[in-house]
Amino acid sequence: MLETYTDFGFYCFIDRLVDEENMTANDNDAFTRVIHKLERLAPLEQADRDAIRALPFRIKTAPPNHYLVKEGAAATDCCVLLTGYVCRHKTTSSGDRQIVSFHMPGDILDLQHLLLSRADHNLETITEATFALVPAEDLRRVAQQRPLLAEALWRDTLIDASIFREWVLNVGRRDAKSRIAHMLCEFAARREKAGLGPPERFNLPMTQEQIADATGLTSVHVNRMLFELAADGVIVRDKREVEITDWSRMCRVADFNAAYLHEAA
Amino acid sequence: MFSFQPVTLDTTSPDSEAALVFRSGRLVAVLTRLSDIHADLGGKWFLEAAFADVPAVQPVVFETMEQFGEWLSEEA
Repeated sequence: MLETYTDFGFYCFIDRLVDEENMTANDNDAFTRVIHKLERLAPLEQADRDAIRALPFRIKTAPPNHYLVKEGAAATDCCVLLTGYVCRHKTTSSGDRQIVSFHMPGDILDLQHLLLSRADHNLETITEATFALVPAEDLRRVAQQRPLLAEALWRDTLIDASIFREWVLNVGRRDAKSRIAHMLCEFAARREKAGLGPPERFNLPMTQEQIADATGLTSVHVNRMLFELAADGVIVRDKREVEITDWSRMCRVADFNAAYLHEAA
Repeated sequence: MFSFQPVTLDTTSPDSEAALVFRSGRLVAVLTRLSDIHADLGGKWFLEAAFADVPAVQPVVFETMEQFGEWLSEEA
């Protein structure tokens, strides 16, 4: 079987250090990034922000390739990702994996557990990750008490659904090069909106094998497409460091229109 | 049982050396010799396309073309 054969490991290291310093200074800052995100989704009032900061939570850290939630498990908490990167995936009965989304700091990883009691997919870390576990019943109670907060959470799930629809289109109908380019464009756009850095240059946290599982390709095809995008002059790549040198041309190759990301881009 | 016919494949990448794999005269797979853009996998044979009962969900590479037949026997 093909092994992952790239050897990077310095994904968003600076982001992580900064966040951990903030958390040490004040644990309430655990929710700063997610509050910023929710403020983009609804006109939160100070009482909404206070209600989030008053939520009980436990901070956990997990190494790369660690399951946070397994399909079928009873779900009692919602995960707010503070640092690092995580993916959601499902597997066939024979063990083949399809990654269905990538997540970055500020994302609420399993908001559906406010209302659904069992996990219908897996959550696995891509990098080392720090996250806050919030009891689902407490978040549900706050959402019932604060309509604007409920609206923001609802909108977040709707945007998630929009992104899933785009991924179905990407995997089902775009050619290999467009799929990879689209995934890179989306990652860059979401990362910028999350305040994690400019879209033109970034370190990819995921391996080529993980990109393959997200795009329905093999890691050999992923490597070929990255090679082609570089040969076309739209990206410059040094291991996992990617620079998009011509954003508008990259968007054309990717068939990327950020409208489906709504407030996530 | 297996026979191999060298072909030049257009993958739009440097991976162009390939072979059609026949079983009892019928095409069952295409193997591509990976170029050096694939780092440690360079020189190995990649199952590019599979037909009939050849499983093709996971990426598979072989040291030699002939290992394809052994692998297929194990998978069957």
